[in-house]
Amino acid sequence: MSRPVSSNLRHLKSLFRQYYSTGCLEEPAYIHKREIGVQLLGETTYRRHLSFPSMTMLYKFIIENPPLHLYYSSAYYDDPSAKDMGAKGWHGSDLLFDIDADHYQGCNSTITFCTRCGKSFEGTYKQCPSCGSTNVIAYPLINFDCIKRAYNDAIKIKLVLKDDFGLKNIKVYFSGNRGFHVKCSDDEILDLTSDERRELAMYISLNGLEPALVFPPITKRKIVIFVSQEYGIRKRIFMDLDHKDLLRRRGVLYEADYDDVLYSIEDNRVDIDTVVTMDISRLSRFGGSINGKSGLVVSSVGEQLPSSYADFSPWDGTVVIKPVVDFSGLPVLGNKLNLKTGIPIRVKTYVGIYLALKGLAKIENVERVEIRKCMMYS
Amino acid sequence: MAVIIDYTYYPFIADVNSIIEYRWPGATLVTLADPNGIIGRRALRILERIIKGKDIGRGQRTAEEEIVAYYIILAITKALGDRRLINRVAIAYSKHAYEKLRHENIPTLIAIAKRIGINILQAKNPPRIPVKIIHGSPAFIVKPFAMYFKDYLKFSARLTGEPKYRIVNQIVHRGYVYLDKDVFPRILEEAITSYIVNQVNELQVRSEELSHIIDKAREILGKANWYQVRAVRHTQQGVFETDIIDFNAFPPCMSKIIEALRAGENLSHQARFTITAFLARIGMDVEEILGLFKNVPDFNEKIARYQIEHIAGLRGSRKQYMPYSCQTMKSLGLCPVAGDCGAKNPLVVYRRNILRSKYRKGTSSGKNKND
Ligand code: SF4
Ligand SMILES: [Zn+2]
Repeated sequence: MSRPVSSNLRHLKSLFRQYYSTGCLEEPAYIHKREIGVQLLGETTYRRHLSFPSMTMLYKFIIENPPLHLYYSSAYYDDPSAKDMGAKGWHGSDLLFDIDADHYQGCNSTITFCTRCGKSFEGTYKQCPSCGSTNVIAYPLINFDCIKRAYNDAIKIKLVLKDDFGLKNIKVYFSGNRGFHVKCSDDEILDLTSDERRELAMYISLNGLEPALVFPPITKRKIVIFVSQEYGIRKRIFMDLDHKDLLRRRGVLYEADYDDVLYSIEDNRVDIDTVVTMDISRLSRFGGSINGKSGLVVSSVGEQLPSSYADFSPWDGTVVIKPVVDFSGLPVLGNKLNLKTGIPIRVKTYVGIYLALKGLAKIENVERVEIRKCMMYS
Repeated sequence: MAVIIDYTYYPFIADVNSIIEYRWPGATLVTLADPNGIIGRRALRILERIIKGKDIGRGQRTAEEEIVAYYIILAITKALGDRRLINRVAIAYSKHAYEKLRHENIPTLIAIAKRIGINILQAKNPPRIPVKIIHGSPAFIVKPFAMYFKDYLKFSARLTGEPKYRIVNQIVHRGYVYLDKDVFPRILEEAITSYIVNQVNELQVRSEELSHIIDKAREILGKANWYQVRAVRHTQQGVFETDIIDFNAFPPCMSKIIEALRAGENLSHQARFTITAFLARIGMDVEEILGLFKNVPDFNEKIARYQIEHIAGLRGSRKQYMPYSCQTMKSLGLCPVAGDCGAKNPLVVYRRNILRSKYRKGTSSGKNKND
């Protein structure tokens, strides 16, 4: 006899399956050369080294086995299904940058829930401070303003890649959870080595920038002089200083205080994860796939960021959930909820899915669900 | 400004066949490579200087003779097939070139860069950085050399230890990196090194025809202890070479990976990469590295060899990789120590350990490359 599938898992599978049936995945270039990685709903481990000759075959697989997470490699390989990097035959990789909103101040608070005694605590704990149980759930509190900040940084990266490096095929994705990915797939960058990618990452984060080399202070007076036609990082800082009204005109030249230049440099740093950029065999999320940490869709974004989390959910309608913890006024993707263990409540579908994926509630009943087709914001 | 190229310093861009035809009608590189002839003797003399770590030297010879001597040296190193020697020769000649490059004018620098196949442009409106005020008007550092950013990343790879060569400290605009007269010649030197290595790789040599001078070269190498170099050497560029692999001097991270390899554990791609890069950098050859990988569960000799050769810079882009920095090692979970080992890269830790252990000839703890 097989184990009964919980109704929660059954509902999630069916909701995910319905979404994937709409065919909204973004097809990466050369899908047959990419390694595909998945974690299926109901499984706890990843399956790597998968490969599909076409999107049709991939859809067939994921509709049968709806994935919690779905990835493809930034790399192109001769044989993506080979287990070893050498045997795969590397041909190049897209250039990736990763921004995580929880790096910003005030954007990394968490509530820890204990599913044994039902208590909750501010901060992150591996063990329940009250009953000592390890059955704890870390619930991140990231308000949408943090997402906006991350978005602004992602756009900065895109501009640097365009203006300074002359790159063209650059896409910015909301990761579906709390960050952004910037992906560049210009031919020129495909064969960059890991070390070369690190140098680009540093160019963007401004780590390793020596202000005295790039903005030599004129001795004694401690000022930096700019000409009217600046380029690269000097241009960015020049514009920033101008914007902040910290430039003084001196005939055909401009000057600013060295200290102001240093502050401006700080303001222009973009905090990226260098390891991601250096990793040429990274798996990254499919555009249009669901991020299993949140139930939101990995979406490419353009000039404007949608105004709320809800805009990234493909599901309309309502579901009934049964909370497994107590909490009044829990922020959930911009909503506030009162949860009482075991007491069913009706919530918007995306809210219910979010709580179910976090492990704070179980979906009892799917009442009415509509799927918005292929949201694209760029 | 005129372009004047002194081939004595840049023999690698000279057309040796036309020179021979013009200067020594009827002769060939082979006939001129007589170990007792003027040019043959000069070639052997230069080779000896190079392996002893000296500069090329001016000598009494004409530019034409220097050029032919250069090509004879390339032929010898190709015939010997000694990768370390090839690198040594390439570095010696690029350093030699650098001494002259530093004083060349802009058009000459650009002409030389183009001759070795680098896409370089002279900026019409170059970025200028005001560095001081003299009598009320600014003095600038001008950056007239526009190099495609990929070339820049490639040729600056070995120089990233020095802030002024990192791309983050350059002016980059629309795909081009703008360089000044201080930085550009040094980048060009790097490009010349890899150009020379490529020249050797592409050279067709029939060793039989050159057997006399090759024998003589072997003799010189032998006398200079080239084959039994036991000491740790630093070239002026900080390149670190030794023939001894001292496992006792390994930093903890590398020892740990070696242990895992010997125990036949399955290692992450990153661990394999970094140990291979590390071993290749400290002078282990492909066969020896391959030997260490023999125990891993999914060992496939052909693939492993290919990868090792790639990482060691013997294939593809011919770029020799660096092991990951300590920072990256830590983020990849490959660093077993809580703090650090007092350096930013395991390679530096190894070098320092070696120097501290005051390595002497033939100590038993080391492993002899030629054993
Ligand atoms: S600090 Fe660096 S050298 Fe030391 S163990 Fe860690 S990675 Fe190795
Ligand atoms: Zn508890």
